[in-house]
Amino acid sequence: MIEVKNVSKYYGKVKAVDNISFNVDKGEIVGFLGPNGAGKTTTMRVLTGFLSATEGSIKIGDHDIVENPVEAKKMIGYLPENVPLYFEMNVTDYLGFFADIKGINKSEKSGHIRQIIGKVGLKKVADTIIGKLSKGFRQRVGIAQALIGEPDILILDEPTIGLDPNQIIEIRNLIKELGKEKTVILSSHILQEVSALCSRIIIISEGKVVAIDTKEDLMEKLEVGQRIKILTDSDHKKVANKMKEVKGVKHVDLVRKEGSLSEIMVSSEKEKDIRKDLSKMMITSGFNLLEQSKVTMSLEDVFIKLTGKN
Amino acid sequence: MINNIWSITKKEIKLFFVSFVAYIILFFFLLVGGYYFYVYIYEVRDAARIMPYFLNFLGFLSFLLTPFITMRVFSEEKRSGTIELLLTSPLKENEIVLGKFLGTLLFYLVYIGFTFYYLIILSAYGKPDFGPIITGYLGFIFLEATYISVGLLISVMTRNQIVSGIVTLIALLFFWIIGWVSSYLPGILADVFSYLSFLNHYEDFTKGIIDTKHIIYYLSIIGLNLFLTIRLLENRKVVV
Ligand SMILES: Nc1ncnc2c1ncn2[C@@H]1O[C@H](COP(=O)(O)OP(=O)(O)O)[C@@H](O)[C@H]1O
Ligand SMILES: [Mg+2]
Repeated sequence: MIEVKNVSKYYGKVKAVDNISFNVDKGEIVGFLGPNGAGKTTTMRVLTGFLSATEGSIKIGDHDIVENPVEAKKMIGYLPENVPLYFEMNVTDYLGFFADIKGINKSEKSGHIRQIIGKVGLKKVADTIIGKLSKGFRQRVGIAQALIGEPDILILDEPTIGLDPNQIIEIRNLIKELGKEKTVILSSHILQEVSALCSRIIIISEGKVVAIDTKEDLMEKLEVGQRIKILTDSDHKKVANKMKEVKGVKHVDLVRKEGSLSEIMVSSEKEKDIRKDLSKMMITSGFNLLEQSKVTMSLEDVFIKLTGKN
Repeated sequence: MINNIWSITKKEIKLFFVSFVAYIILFFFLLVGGYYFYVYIYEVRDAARIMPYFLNFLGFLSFLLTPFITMRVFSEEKRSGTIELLLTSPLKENEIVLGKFLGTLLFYLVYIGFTFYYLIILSAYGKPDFGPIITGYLGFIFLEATYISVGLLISVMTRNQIVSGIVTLIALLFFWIIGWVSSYLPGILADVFSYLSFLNHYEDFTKGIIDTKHIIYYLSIIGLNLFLTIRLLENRKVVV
C-alpha cells in the first residue's frame, strides 16, 4: 500500500530524514515512535506530498507521490501535527469544504458528511464554530476531515498530543475503530501509545530508522514486563523475600530508603499483570502497603535497550 | 479544474465575510468613497461627468485598501497551518491560486457593488453618460485584479499578515509613483515608467475607451504574478 525507498529530506543543510525505507501493507496500523525532532513529522509531510523528498521515492498504492500527486493524495486522509483548522467555520461547513475539494458529488455530500460526523462523535457540535470547540473536539474535527472522501490510508501525526487523559482514551478508541477498515500510520513519542494501537512499530531517531518490528517482537526485545513501585514501612528485606515468591515476579529492587520508609521496585515477566497478587500478598502477610503504582517505560529506556547507548 | 477552483473561491468568500478586517475596510471604503462622491458632486456639478472622476478616485482608494484584503489570503493559511491541508488535498497549486484570486476579486467587487447606489442617485437627478461608466467599471476590474495579483504574490511569501499587507502597500505605491514621476523624467525612462504604471492604463477606460493594449497590459501583469505565486507554492520553500 505504501512503499518508501531510501528517502532523505534536508531543510537547507539540516538533514531531518536520513535514508529511510519501509513498506506498509493494506490494513496495517503502523506507529512511528521517536522523540521530538526525530523526523516523524517530516516523514509524514513527505508521504502526504506536502513536502518533496530530497532523495528517494514514495509510492502510495500504485501512484508515485511526485509523478502522480493528485491520484496519490486521493488515497490519503491526513491529520497534520497541531491540527490546523479554519476556526471561523462551523463543523459542517468545514467538512463540506473538504468534501468539495476532495471531489465528493453534490448528491452524496451531505449524507457523507453526516455519516462521518456520526462516526467520530461530532453530532452535538455539528453547527458549532470550530474556534469555540474544546481541544478534544477539534481533534475529532481534524480526524473527520481526514476521513472525508473515504481514503484507504490515514496518516495521523501525534493524534493525542495535548489532550487530557479522558480525551486521549477516546481518541485512541476512535483510531482503533478506524484501524479495522483502513491502513493507518500514526506517530507518537509515547511507547505505550504505539504499543496499544499499532501492529507494527517503526522507531526513528535523528532521522534514521532504529528498528522496524511487529509489536510482539519489539516487546520481546525490550523485555517489557510490568514495573510496580511499592512504598512500605515494613521491614524491606522481609517484604522483598515474600515478593519473590509471588507468581510472575522477576526482579525485586530496593530503590530508596528513608527512615522506616522503603521504596521497592518489582518487575514482572513479560505481559504478566502482578498487581493483584502483589497487593494481596502484602496484606495477607501483614505488611503495610502505603502506595502501589505502575511505572511506565519511557522512550529513553527504549532507546537505551535498543541501541545500547545512553 | 473549474469545480476545484470554484470550491476554493467559495471558501475564500465565506472567510472574508466572517473576517473583522473586511468590515473595517468596508467602513473606510464607504466613508471615504462617500465623502469624495459628495465632493465631486459639488465640484463637477455635471451628472454626466461625475462618475469618471469618481471611478478614477476609486482606483486610487482601492490601491490603499486592497493590501488589507489580500494580506491574509496566503499568510493566514501559512500561520495557522491550514496550507498543509490544501497542499495535501487532491488540488493542484494552480487551482488553489486561481480560486483564491477569483474569491478575493469577487469579494472586492461586493464593495464596488455599493457604488451602484451612487449611480442610482445620479440617474435620479441627472443624465449620467453610461458609456464611460460601463467601460470605467470594466477597467476598474482589471486594475483591481492587478492589485490583488500583487497582493497574493506577496502574501504567499510570508506567514505574517502585517508584513504581507505593508509590503503589498509599498509595492502598489511604487507602481503608482512611477506613473506620477514619469512625466518629470527624460526620454525613454519616462516611457518605460509611464507604461509600467498601473493607473495610466486605467485612465482610458474611464474616458469610455476600450483599448486592447491596456487589456493586454493588465492581463500580462496579472498572469505573471499568478504564475510566480503558483511556482512559489509548487516549490514549497515558502510554506515551511
Ligand atoms: N521547517 C523546518 N526548517 C528547518 N528545520 C526543520 C523544519 N522542520 C523540522 N526541522 C528539523 O528537522 C528535524 C526533524 O523534525 P520533525 O520532523 O519535526 O521531528 P518530529 O516530528 O519527530 O518531532 C528537527 O531537527 C527539526 O529541528
Ligand atoms: Mg512532530
